[in-house]
Amino acid sequence: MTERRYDPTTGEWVTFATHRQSRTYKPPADFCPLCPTRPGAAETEIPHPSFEVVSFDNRFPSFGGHAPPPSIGGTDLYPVEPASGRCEVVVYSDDHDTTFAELSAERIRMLVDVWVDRWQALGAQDDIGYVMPFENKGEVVGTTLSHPHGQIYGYPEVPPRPLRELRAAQAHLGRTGRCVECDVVAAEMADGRRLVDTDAGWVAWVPFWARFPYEVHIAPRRHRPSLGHLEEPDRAALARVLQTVARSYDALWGFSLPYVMAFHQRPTNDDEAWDPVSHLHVEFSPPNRSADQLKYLAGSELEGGAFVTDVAPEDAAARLREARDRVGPGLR
Amino acid sequence: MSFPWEAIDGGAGGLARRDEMKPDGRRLTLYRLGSGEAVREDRDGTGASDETDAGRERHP
Repeated sequence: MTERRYDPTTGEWVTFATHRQSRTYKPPADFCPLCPTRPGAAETEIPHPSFEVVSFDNRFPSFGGHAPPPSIGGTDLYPVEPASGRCEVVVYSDDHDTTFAELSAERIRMLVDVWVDRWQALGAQDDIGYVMPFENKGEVVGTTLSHPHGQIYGYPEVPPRPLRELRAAQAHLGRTGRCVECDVVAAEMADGRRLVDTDAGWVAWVPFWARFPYEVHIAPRRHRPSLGHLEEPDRAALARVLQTVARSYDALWGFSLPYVMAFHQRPTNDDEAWDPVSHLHVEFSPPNRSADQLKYLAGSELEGGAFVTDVAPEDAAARLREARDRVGPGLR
Repeated sequence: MSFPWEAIDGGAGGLARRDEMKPDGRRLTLYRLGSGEAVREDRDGTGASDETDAGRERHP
């Protein structure tokens, strides 16, 4: 059963992909499906003895290019649709035991090119309205395969949270004539207390409104609607800032910090109309509120949609800057 | 079936891509640094790194 059902009480779609219940779940390293295929061993998802970066269609997709018809009939109250879209896997390395933070600057720079390439390929599909590369890192955020990898979802339309961002940006543009994310970047640069890292092209900071205690956003200083709008030196600089933030997280408490990382950018349908209100940015949402305590989404967050955060963003940013400084030189 | 490498980042160096099809019909794309000589010299067809990869200078 793979289908989308509409919730008329919220105006949002929910995707059902019941086949994902049987997806590979925390296999031992010897049976990792994202490792290269070693001579004489069973074939993995990648039928090569070594590789740099690989992208492939997810074997257990939430959305598909040839989505089957729904298993149940819809009504005016309960519309049902095939779960059209794409779900891709991006394997960062053939080294099972590394992490995104431990990748070389060269490899992260290459990943930026791969994300751009996939954004262009998926965005060109008529049945895809929004492309979101993301990484779930760590068992506490649901990762079932520890091999370093991310995913890319091609949604049939803009998903709810990016849509709320775009509508807020439209309201801000109507009120001020400016891009809200451009204003946020300028405000953070001027204030400085929540900055984690900066360079000539990019800014990393803990949001004034951080929903997670050590949440970090990364955005270009200049208005760039999507990954597809990045040229050099934007791409190389993004790789450096991503690496700095990821390594600072690991230095924060001395262990490989779990997180959800996602790109927010311009929708791929009616694309140019979105340009003035789409400002590419990356959001890191680590679940930890301390070294040994997690921030759970509970009553207020899940049911009220109202986040309560345990750490002041200014304090979190100061700790992340200290961690960044402990990582030491060599990233740039 | 032979799957050619394709330079996708233009010019010397950059990124190369090779699209394959898995037995069950799913797409698989290999990416590697380098175009031009690096792609033509991919003798084993694996896309694995090698010391002649011209693209490495592009991404120090």
